[in-house]
Amino acid sequence: MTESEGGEAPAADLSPPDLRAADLPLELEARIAALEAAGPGADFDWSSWFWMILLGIALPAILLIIGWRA
Amino acid sequence: MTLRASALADESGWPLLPAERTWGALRLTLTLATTAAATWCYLIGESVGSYLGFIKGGVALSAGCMIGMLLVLLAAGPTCVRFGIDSIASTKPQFGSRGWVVPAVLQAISIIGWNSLLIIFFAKSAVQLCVALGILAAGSHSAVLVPLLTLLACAIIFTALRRGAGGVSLVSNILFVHVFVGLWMLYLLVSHRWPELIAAHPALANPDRLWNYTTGVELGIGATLSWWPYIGAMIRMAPDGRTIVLPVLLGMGAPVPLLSLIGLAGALVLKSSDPAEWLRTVGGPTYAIISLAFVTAANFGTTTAGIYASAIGLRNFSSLQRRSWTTLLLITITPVALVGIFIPELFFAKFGNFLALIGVAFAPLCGIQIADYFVLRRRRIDIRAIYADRPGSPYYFWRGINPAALLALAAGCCTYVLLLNPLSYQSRGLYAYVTASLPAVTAAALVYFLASLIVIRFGRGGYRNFQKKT
Repeated sequence: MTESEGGEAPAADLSPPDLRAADLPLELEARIAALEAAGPGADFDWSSWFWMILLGIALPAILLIIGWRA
Repeated sequence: MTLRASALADESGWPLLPAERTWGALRLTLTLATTAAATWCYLIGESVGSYLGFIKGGVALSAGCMIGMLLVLLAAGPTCVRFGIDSIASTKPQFGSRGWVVPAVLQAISIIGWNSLLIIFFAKSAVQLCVALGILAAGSHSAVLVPLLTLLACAIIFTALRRGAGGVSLVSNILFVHVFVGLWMLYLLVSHRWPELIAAHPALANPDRLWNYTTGVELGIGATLSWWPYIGAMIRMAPDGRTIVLPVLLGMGAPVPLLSLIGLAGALVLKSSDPAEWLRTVGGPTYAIISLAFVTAANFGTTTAGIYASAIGLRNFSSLQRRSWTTLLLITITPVALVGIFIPELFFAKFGNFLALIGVAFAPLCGIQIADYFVLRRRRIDIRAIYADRPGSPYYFWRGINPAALLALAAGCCTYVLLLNPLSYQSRGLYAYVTASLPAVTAAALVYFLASLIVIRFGRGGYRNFQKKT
């Protein structure tokens, strides 16, 4: 199953037909089927990106400027 | 899904269901912080203290750690947290349904190597602690006690991890307080030795100020990139991306530079990054005992998380999928125990350089994953294909291997080594302006993107499945 962007409804199943019948262990097959039914979890929403940009880009940039001048 | 299957889910390498991803932000923060805080913080701080003073070194290291942590989060985070899989499984869309063995080997060597070093540190600190407490006579029985304590630590870790990820969380909850002890130690050193700290001159400082500063940043980036092998096994326990961002950036990214300041301060003022040694100087034997207890606890927590992550990574090998959790733990922990018992001193002296070389590969690995997930696949991953190793499967590529990923990995590693020798720290070219890790990430991402255009033209990699849809 190929799913769509984080937080959105999952896309249609586009796996090759023979892949769906692949000989996966039963429990794994059940897990994948359950995930396909429920849809994947979300990755990053807007607040996640805000914190990532703030802490991973803006803060280091500010620190580097302050540190260089120190 | 049976109750038993759900209970054992965190001991398997298979995807976790939403109902099984129960770790909230606080629990994840505690676990990641306990994992991040270990003896390597002092070593990182000591390295930075060779080139930079306290303020500049602390700032450069903090900036580097936050940048590195962001890269790791962007690389492994989305796939791991969306499907409840570990770092190794998250590489299958890039490396192929068999090519993932390459990052798996990197992970195994890195984690087992680091865990062996930390467990030896643990044993040595415990012996010193016993001597400081008067339980043992000074200088006696170290050659016997270090292997014995290594074995004891491995046995305790093994027992704790019989509970799966719950064991990691349990150990973290108990040991988390050591992070605050570390901060207290830092306060002591700073408050007692501030004038000397500010005046101290780094021993190996390069005449080029920019080079020193960049090297501080590079050490921070490199230190946090080496969390890539660990992170997937932990964040897969969280329900979504929103839950992991602050725990990863603050819980794992912040403690490393903060606790590295201990090593940095010690190296600058007392010419020793060993906190036990300088705390004895600052506050007498009681402080030294507290410090030794801190080191012991810190390494124990990190090793527990490392063994867990490594065991989950091994689950991706089909021959180990059906093995019991106990067997898997034994496979993971036995090399650590054997190293600690038979060759602790040799390993201590020689293996650090090898780990530095292995660490070079994590920068390009992050670049490859970021380019694939955000640019080429546009955030679409086929969870079924991750576990299907057969011709026709989207991630089968050619014989299960994606040459684009291997090419990009090699290009990234070469870029790094061309800019900076990770052993001697001899640099070339634009290193002082751009670091070595960031160009390695960029080069790997670029080569992967360009090579993948050819892969897509051949209809491999499952890229066209979603392109047809859109």
